[in-house]
Amino acid sequence: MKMKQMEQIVNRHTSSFRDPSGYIQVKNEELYRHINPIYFNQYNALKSSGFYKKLIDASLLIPHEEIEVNSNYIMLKPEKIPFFSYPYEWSFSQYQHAALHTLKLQKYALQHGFTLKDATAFNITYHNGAPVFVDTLSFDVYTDGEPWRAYKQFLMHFLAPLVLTKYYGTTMLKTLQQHIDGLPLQHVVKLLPFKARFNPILYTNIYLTAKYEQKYSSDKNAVAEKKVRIAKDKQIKIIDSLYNYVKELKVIEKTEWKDYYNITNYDAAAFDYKKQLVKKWYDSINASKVVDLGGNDGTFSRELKDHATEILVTDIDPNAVDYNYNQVLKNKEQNIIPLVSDLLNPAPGIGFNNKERMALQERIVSNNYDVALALALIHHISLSGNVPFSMSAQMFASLTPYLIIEFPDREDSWVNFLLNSKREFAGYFDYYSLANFEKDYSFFYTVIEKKQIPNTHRTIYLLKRK
Amino acid sequence: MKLPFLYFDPGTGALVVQAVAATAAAGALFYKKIITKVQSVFGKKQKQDLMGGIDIEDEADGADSK
Repeated sequence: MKMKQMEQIVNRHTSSFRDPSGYIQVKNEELYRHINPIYFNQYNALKSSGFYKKLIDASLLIPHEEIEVNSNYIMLKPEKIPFFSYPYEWSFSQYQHAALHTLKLQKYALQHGFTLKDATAFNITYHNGAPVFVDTLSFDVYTDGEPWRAYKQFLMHFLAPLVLTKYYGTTMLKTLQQHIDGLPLQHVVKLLPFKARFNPILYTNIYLTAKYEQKYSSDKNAVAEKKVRIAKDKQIKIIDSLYNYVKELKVIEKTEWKDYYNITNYDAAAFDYKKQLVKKWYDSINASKVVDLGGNDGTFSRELKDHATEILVTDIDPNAVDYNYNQVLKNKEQNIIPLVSDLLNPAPGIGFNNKERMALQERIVSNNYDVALALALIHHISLSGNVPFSMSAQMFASLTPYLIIEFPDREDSWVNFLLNSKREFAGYFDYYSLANFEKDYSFFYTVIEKKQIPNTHRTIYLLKRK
Repeated sequence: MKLPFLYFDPGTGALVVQAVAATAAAGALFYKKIITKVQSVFGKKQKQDLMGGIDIEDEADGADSK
């Protein structure tokens, strides 16, 4: 008995403890959802009404299978999500789409006699080319006239970061990394520009909510809560108006990415050569999962989309990632996940015990990608980030068994530009050469193939981890 | 039966405010309807909608049971 209890404790997923309805267990690298008796009524209502099936058929909720039912617990096996991305790694469109997905879900739930009892942005991730809601136990039976309990959470997790992004740019999309429970609304009100209050949606949903929250904050008995009644059609009006508002939000921000490929220093032939080579090497190692680091808008990894089951494309530039995500939507690409990430500062482990949300590197390692692409990247890491070759080699080697890496030499115009920007310290970077690169990378890798890209000062390698 | 306790605070103020927000929402939706109508009269093309609308159409129940 003790053994079994210990096993349950140890196997519990480190992110799963907030909701008393149940929790996620990990057994032999598979996830199981354990439902406590406290949620049996809700679960049975959701199941027998056919609403779970409707949600799954409409691709709103992650599919699950019922494994075991007894008086102590119900066990489900949810469909596996190979790579789990977090809100602070999404581009603007991804964040926006996740917010819309949550609203869509709440409206649909209300129409079928249910309601979302929480609306955290961490309940959404990207899977099969679209957002999906992952928390099967987030639904409750709707009682006529009750307000939306997760309304404030929606504002703190979705509306606030999106609106701040509209005014101040995409760094605001990362705010949940700091505020894991969402942005406090009173703080948001202080941050927003004065003109924001003249928008009726923002005024009522953010300014007034912040004000009412302050007013009722001392009311610990929640006396007023019992009195609040709001008709279902009125609640749906709030949801509809938030949907329209969020959908039309835009962020205007110029970044380094714009026209990146127009100012790179190789011609169409060289570009094509590189594409073909990546494809050929990729096939030669029988890979199926690829992580494209610094992959920009996914131009190169998209070449592999008919050969790969999973493609993760990370880039520091939120606009490039946004463009990539719009391509995913337009082409209905199910196997590409665009992700905003700075290789010099990837998302850390956060939350309780630093394990509630896992570090990016850890998630990449645990998803066992076959190969990493590092095209037109090493000069940025080495010359902008000052990371020595040995350290970048060690980092890449910790992620995947194979690496396809491009090395632009000192004569390359980008490298030249980066070196010149070092001014009097340019001499400090004399180590930046093909010979030193090969020497340091050889501690971690064996060269399988090496090609010079014609008419450029760039060499590309297929490396195998030692 | 509702869950007897909540694991996060829904915020009393955030519940009370919904009555006010609903009125503003109704106004905003009405305004949007008019704008869309006017735009369609002047032939403004809607741009490509990648994220779709909020409504989900239920398939007719039992449609394939025959």
